[in-house]
Amino acid sequence: MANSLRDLAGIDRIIHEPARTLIMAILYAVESADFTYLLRETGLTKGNLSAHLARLEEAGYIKIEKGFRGKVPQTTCSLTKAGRAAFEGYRAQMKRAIDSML
Amino acid sequence: MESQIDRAMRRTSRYWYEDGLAEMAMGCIFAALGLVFFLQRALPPGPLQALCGMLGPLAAVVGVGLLGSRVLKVAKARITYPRTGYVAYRRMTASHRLQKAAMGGAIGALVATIAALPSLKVWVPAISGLIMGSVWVYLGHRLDLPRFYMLAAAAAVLGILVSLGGFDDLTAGALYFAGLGLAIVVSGAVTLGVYLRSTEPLAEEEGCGQ
Repeated sequence: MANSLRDLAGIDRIIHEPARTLIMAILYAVESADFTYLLRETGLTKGNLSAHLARLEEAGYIKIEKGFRGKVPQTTCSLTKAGRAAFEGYRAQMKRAIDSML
Repeated sequence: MESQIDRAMRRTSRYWYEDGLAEMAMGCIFAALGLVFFLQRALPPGPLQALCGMLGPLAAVVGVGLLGSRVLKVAKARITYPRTGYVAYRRMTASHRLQKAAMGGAIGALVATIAALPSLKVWVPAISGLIMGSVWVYLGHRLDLPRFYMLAAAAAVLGILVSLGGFDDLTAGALYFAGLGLAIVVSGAVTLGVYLRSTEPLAEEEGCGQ
C-alpha cells in the first residue's frame, strides 16, 4: 500500500489528466494524427483540445506541425521520444500502483 | 484506466479499416488472382497458358496491389480524411517485417507441400481457406472488428466447398480466389456505405484547429 501511494505521488501530472491521457494513448498507437481525428476521438471542443495539445507540447511530449493537405490546412500531432518514454513510464507506474492496491 | 487506454489505442489501430476502403483494395487483389486462374483455364494448352500460369499471379498481386495502394491513398484523402481525420501509422520494424515474411513463407511452403501430394491436392482450397480464416480471426480479435469473423467464416466455408466440389486445379483456384475477393469487396462496400451515412465532411476551418 505504501508503495502504491509512493507510485501515485510520483505520477506524471501532465499525462495524468483524462483528456491528456487519451491524447497520449491515441498518439502512442500511431506515427501521427491530425487535429480532426483527435477532435473526434476525444470528444473535446476545439478550444479545449488546443489547450491540452499546447500543454503537452510545452512539456516536450508532443510535436505539432502545421501544413497543408492539398489546399486544406492541416495540423498534425505526434509523440516525441520523450513523450513516448513518459507515456510508457506513466502506464507502468499506474499498473504498479493498481496491482499493489488489489 | 488501463482498459480505457487500451480501448483508445485499439480504436486508433483499427481506424484504417473504418471506411472499408482497405478491404475493397485487398478484395480486388484476390479477385484479380481469381481472374488470372479463369484466364489460364480459358487459354488453350501451350506456351501462352504456361506464361499466364507463371507470371499471371505475380502480375495480379504486384500490379493490382500497386494500383490499389495508389487508388486507396487518393480515396482516403478525398473521402476519409476530410470526414474523420488523418492518421499515419508507424512503420514496421525490420524484425517485425522479418517475422511476418517468415510466417508467410512457412504458410506458403506448407500449402505448396500439400499441393505436391496427389492425395491431398484436392484439399488445398480448404486448407488455404482455413489458414486465411485464421488470419481474419486474428485480425478481428486484435482490432475488435466483428465483421472480420464473418470474412473468416466465408474464407473457410468457401475453401471447403471448393474442395468438396472436386474441380480441377485451375477452376478450384479461380472459384476460390474470385469468391473470396468478392466477399471481401462486398464487406468493404457495405462498411463504406455505413461510414458515408454516419459521417459528414467537416468544413475546412473546422478541421484545422490550433
